Amino acid sequence: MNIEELLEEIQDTNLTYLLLAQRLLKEDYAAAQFRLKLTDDMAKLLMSLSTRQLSRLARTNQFLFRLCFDNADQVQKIVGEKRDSAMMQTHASLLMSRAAAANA
Amino acid sequence: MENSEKSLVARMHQVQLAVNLIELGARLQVLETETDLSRGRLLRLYKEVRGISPPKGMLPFSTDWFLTWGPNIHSSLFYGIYETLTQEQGCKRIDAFVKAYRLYLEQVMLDDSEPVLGLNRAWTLLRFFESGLLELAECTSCHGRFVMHAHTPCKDYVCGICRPPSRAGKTSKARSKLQETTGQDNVVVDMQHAQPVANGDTPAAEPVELPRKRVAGGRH
Repeated sequence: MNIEELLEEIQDTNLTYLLLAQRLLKEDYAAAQFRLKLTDDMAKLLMSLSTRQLSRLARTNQFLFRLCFDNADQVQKIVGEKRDSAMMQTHASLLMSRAAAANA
Repeated sequence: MENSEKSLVARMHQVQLAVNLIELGARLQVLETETDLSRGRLLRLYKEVRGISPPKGMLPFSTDWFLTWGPNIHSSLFYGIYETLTQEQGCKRIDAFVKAYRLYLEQVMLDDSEPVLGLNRAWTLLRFFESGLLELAECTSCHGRFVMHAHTPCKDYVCGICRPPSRAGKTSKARSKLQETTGQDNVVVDMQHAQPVANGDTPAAEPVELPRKRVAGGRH
């Protein structure tokens, strides 16, 4: 895969993310804010942007969003759990809900 | 004029809240505490939404249930979401409660596991936190926050996922498979309790609510 294709994929992913974020926020603002881990200001701003503005934001060689886990050990704990895959998901969700609080 | 319109809207909001709570499985005690609708109106609403009369009997009242293995993890997930919604996002208490419970259910469904924490339990949990009986403690291993009795020394606390008790490996799936083969009409909360009992530990929770969980069991 050459770099042009990769860049295109990054931009597509950015735009998909932004569009989905908008949809979620319009559907249920508080729940979306929780899912997206956005501050109130940022959530309101994203919601107000036009599709043209969104695609301008998306047009970059970097990702607009990043992993919400800061701590690699934490992720290692989640993926390293051997016992019960359902519990692993629950654990991930639990730790991520906290990641939201830590970053806000 | 404006006043009466306002109260109409407020009333509608109350009814909507009650309907949401009923749909999620709320008992009458929860509805009476959280809405200002009359008991008679709530009864009618309940019958309309569910098609049956609300179950009678007391709500669960023990904090210990929330400390047993499976319930603890589920409770911690739910309360973590609730806390984020109220503290970080400024959601109002009861709205945050309903939203947090929905988000919790969503995750449980994704995980293909049972909603161990019923709505009434979740509500009791909230009340226990509000009255200072329970607190969140941080696991020293994964840094997640988990439900604990208040004022428990938790300097070296490790959560039930990072250090599961030996009996905890049996998944809810495995258990429900077992059920299918034995044909037992078991219920969500029962299954959680079945484990400690089988190991000779003392069953941690009160029996009050057990027979009432059947509705939520969702057997196919």
